[in-house]
Amino acid sequence: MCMTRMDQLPEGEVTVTPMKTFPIIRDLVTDVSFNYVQAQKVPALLPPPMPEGGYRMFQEDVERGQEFRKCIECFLCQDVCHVIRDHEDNKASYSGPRFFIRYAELEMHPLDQNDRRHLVREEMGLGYCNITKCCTEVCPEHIHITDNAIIPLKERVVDVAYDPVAWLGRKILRRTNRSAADADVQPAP
Amino acid sequence: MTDYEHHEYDVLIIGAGGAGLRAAIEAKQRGLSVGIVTKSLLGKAHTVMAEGGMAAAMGNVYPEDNWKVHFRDTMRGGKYLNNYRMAELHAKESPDRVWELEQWGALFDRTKDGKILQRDFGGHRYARLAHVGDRTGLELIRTLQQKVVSMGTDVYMECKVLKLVHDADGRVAGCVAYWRPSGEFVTFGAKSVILATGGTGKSWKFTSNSWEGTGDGHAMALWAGAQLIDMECIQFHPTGMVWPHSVRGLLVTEGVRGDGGVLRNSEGKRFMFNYVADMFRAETAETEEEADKWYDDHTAGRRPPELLPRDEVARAINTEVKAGRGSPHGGVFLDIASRRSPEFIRRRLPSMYHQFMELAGVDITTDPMEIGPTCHYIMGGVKVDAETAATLAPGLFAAGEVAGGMHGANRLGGNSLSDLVVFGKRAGMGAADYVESGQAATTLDMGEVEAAVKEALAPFDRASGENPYDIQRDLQEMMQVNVGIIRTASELEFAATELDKFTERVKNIAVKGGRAYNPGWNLTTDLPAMLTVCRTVTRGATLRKESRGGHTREDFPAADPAFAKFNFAHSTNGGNWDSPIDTVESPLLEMPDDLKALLEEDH
Ligand SMILES: Cc1cc2nc3c(=O)[nH]c(=O)nc-3n(C[C@H](O)[C@H](O)[C@H](O)COP(=O)(O)OP(=O)(O)OC[C@H]3O[C@@H](n4cnc5c(N)ncnc54)[C@H](O)[C@@H]3O)c2cc1C
Ligand code: SF4
Ligand code: SF4
Repeated sequence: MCMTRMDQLPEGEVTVTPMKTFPIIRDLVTDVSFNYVQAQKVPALLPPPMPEGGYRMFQEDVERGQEFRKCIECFLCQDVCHVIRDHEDNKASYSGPRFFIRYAELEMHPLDQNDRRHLVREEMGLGYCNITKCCTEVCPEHIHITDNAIIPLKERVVDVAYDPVAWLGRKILRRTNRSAADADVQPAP
Repeated sequence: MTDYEHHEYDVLIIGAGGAGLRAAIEAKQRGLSVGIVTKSLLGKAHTVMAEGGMAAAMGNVYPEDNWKVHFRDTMRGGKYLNNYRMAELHAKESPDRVWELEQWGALFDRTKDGKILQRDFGGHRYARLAHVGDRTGLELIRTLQQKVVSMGTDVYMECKVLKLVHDADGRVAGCVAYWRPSGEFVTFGAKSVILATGGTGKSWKFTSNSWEGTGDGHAMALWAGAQLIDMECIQFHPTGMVWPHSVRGLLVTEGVRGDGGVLRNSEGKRFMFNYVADMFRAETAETEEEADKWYDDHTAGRRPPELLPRDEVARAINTEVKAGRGSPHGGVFLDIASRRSPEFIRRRLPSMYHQFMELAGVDITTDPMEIGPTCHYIMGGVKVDAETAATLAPGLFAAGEVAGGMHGANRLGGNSLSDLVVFGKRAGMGAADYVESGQAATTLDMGEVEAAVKEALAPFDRASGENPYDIQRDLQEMMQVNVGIIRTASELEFAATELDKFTERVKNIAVKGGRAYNPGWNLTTDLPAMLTVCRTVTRGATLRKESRGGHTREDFPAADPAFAKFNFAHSTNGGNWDSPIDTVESPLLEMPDDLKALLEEDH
């Protein structure tokens, strides 16, 4: 793992290999642009207009999102997730644990008015994840990716799928404007 | 002539730290086409390392706080060398810039009543730093990055800019760069260019800056016809880690000394008692016994000398090392292990305990730390217009650490992150106005492009020559010793002649291998910028015959009012990295009376 100290490893030769999920450029350097393409698919936060003197949010309410925002984008979780590690063709329809925590963060944001649950289920492939927890194990920031993000997200997404009436009602009430992010997604050159 | 990959934008931004990203958002919102070039990956710029917070007089914790007090604090901190107009705009606009981040998704720590919490920091009259634990920089960059991405901006990652390029009329018209993964060259044409390349710490042996901080933007601006000011004003932190190599330069908080840590030399002696200047004698303990009483009861003894102001401590460390009483790796020992129990250390200094344990394999509850002064932040930078961030080179704008003036001779903690967003936005506005005014540049002067490419490739043609890593190491060593935290005429003179020799050595570098991810070659392309920075810093430090803020002269220990009236401004005519540099006294902006009055007020 990225923070392992050499003196903690057993004596002898150490083999270091590049991240398997991503194409190799040279030696240990891999092309992680998959992650930047996924990032562009995330619809942005959509808050109500800001009142004079700033929004009011409480520490308990922001703490859930703060955990996910500790992410340093090392992409180790993406590397170990078997859904894309072992199945190249899944990359088109699976955003991976790094982005599940991003969706979770936005979904749990006290001010957000967007609804991304349909997107997460239909296009980001949340269903492929079978909660092996490999991502959580490698996260150097000790983010509880599966317990705090993926599982709650799965629960919410199930709500959408099986209770269309309630979901529709919420949608109308919440005024789900799509944000600028929904404009055509074009990968960065 | 070779055909290069080429891209065109209305506004081209070099650098994807806080300043560059904020500028991109602004220009993009004006409906212009925007490209961002960064030599690392998006979201990895040095800004992520900022911990403490961003200063903004929102008055959430102390309602008495307002922009006037923040302005006064900033000017006082800067020892009045600041561009007052920048300090004024910064103080007025930073609250809005913080609130705006919240609209884009930032989650700051909260007060009990749900507002953004603000914390205390040295030099700020009131608790003023918005923060997220100790990862404020990460929050800032992630928020801006996500906003930029959601707007569909083009980002060129791992693409290193070599040089700015003009059009036939001498306006800045774009740049020439290369892709680090392939080593292929690429040109960018732009109606305006914003520099947001951050700092310069990598020219010193010990620095808290990331690998990106080689001063490319400072140098490129100078070469392109802009001016650099205040280059001698650099913040060194007295206690950075000097060992092991992989973590060299990381900061060690002053809290270690506050909680009982003491400084020792190679003889095990607590040397600070020998360095108490007359003006501090009355308030400083004379013996170890007296000093040790102070920690438990501040009335029982006077303060330990380890807690003297930063520059006093730094000067003492510097003298011990130069006298040959330093630690094996060129620092001194900071010892808390022999003075406090392991439980106490782990409880009071958890993050330091982890920093040393996880990154260095040093257990600070049993072993002393090796520490020394580390280069942290450069106040000096490209001279800009406060309102528009325009430099003296037409078409070129600059914001963030690469710009000078905002912080004067010394920056207050937390004022940098707010500087990035206040002047990042202004640079975006300034560049957009310039583009819309129709006076912008047209086409790249391909002669300049070819010359830059030829120079970059020359090291591959030399069958034998200098190794770039040797030059880098020697340069860092030389600057740390001679143009470090404490300066003196003889050492500065020596440094100037050494820099001439380095210039010749750089011209004789030989590089082997291909161009794809070739770190030796990448470093070779950094060295001209590093040398340009070192030359201007050394020049400024030689001329400023006084001590002020982040510039301390052993031979001129006091501030001299005669030097409080101007900045030293550097420019070059030749446009190349080895062209001669001219230095003039550039008078400070005259401050209006109402602002002057604020400085005298005692809030
Ligand atoms: C350890 C540490 C802690 C700090 N804590 C605080 C704090 O708590 N509060 C505070 O206000 N300030 C703090 N600072 C200072 C602050 O973090 C920096 O001054 C600030 O982040 C600089 O931001 P920037 O946008 O100017 O540039 P950076 O974030 O340094 O970004 C520079 C960008 O330019 C790019 N670049 C550079 N050269 C080239 C080139 N040739 N071609 C292409 N791209 C290039 C880089 O890739 C990068 O994207 C701290 C600094 C350090 C070192
Ligand atoms: S828990 Fe899900 S996302 Fe994480 S590694 Fe396993 S399959 Fe992938
Ligand atoms: S492993 Fe953790 S820190 Fe790394 S990308 Fe995944 S969530 Fe982020």
